[in-house]
Amino acid sequence: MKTRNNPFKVPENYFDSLEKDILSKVGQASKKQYFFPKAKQMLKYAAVILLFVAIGGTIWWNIPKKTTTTQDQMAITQVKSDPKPTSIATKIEEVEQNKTIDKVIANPTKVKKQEKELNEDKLELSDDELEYLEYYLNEDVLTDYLTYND
Amino acid sequence: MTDKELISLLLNNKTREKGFSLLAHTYKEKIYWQVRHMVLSHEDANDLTQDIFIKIFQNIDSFNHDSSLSTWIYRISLNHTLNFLQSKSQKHKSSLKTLEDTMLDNLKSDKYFDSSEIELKLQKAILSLPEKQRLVFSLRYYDDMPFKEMEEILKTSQSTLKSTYHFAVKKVEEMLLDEEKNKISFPH
Repeated sequence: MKTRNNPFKVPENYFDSLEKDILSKVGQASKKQYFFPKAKQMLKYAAVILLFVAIGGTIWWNIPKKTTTTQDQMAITQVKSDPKPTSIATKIEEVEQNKTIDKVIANPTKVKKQEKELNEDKLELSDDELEYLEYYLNEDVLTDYLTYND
Repeated sequence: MTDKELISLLLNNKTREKGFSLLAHTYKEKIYWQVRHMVLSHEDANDLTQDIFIKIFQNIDSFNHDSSLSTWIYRISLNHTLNFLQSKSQKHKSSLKTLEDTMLDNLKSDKYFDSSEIELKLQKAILSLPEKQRLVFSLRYYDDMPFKEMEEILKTSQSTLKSTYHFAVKKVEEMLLDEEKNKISFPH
């Protein structure tokens, strides 16, 4: 090493020991360099998971909760107060009956005509058929209809 | 061994250790002296030189061939040294003495320094220079570094560096004028 007017000195064989020290320190740094990227990578994954949890939690927290409407409350009260809750089949039956009644009320002439045609054909119904008809026709409407035709 | 061969050894995981051993062998002295002329203390220079080599090892993958390997290494070395001095200067602010005075006092009792009167006066004059002038003066006066190489390391034009060196020499000469002017000659 060419230096000019150098008043600075070093210990004897200093540069030999410096090289050894450098290589030893670099060896230690190399081991750290091997370990820390793995730790860093794991931290990255943990951070991503935490981020998702945080975002999910925030969204969940801010979703408006479903509130019970007055209608729902009435329905609940009705169900609770009904000692014998109606089965779905019975409900469907009731709806069908109501439809039939509506038809009769809406167009009594048509119903009358159909009845007349039945009479004209002298169609005789069996007991089962009658029972079937009675089952689907509201008793009150049928009575009214029969009264009206009498 | 050329820089290119050395780089290929350093960038290969299998030959990295061998490459680094060669690199340390080639550059240890030059780096040590560059650092020593700036920090003055042997202990500080020793620690910093080792830190610089660790830094080189850790960043060798980021060497992008924009400059020569030696330029890249000296740049790391000088930046690390200047950061050390700035940090030391910050810590020293609460002290009544300036960092330069403390460095000079330590030099007087340093067994690894030729503490003749004239050398101490020269060091005092150099320490009075602004940081950039001191760096340029040190690289040129002690390490005999060509301005072309200095230009690449410091990313400063040669004309600016020559002018900086010229002003630094003038200031040092003025300080030494009354004392031992004829005993020290500066390269131009």
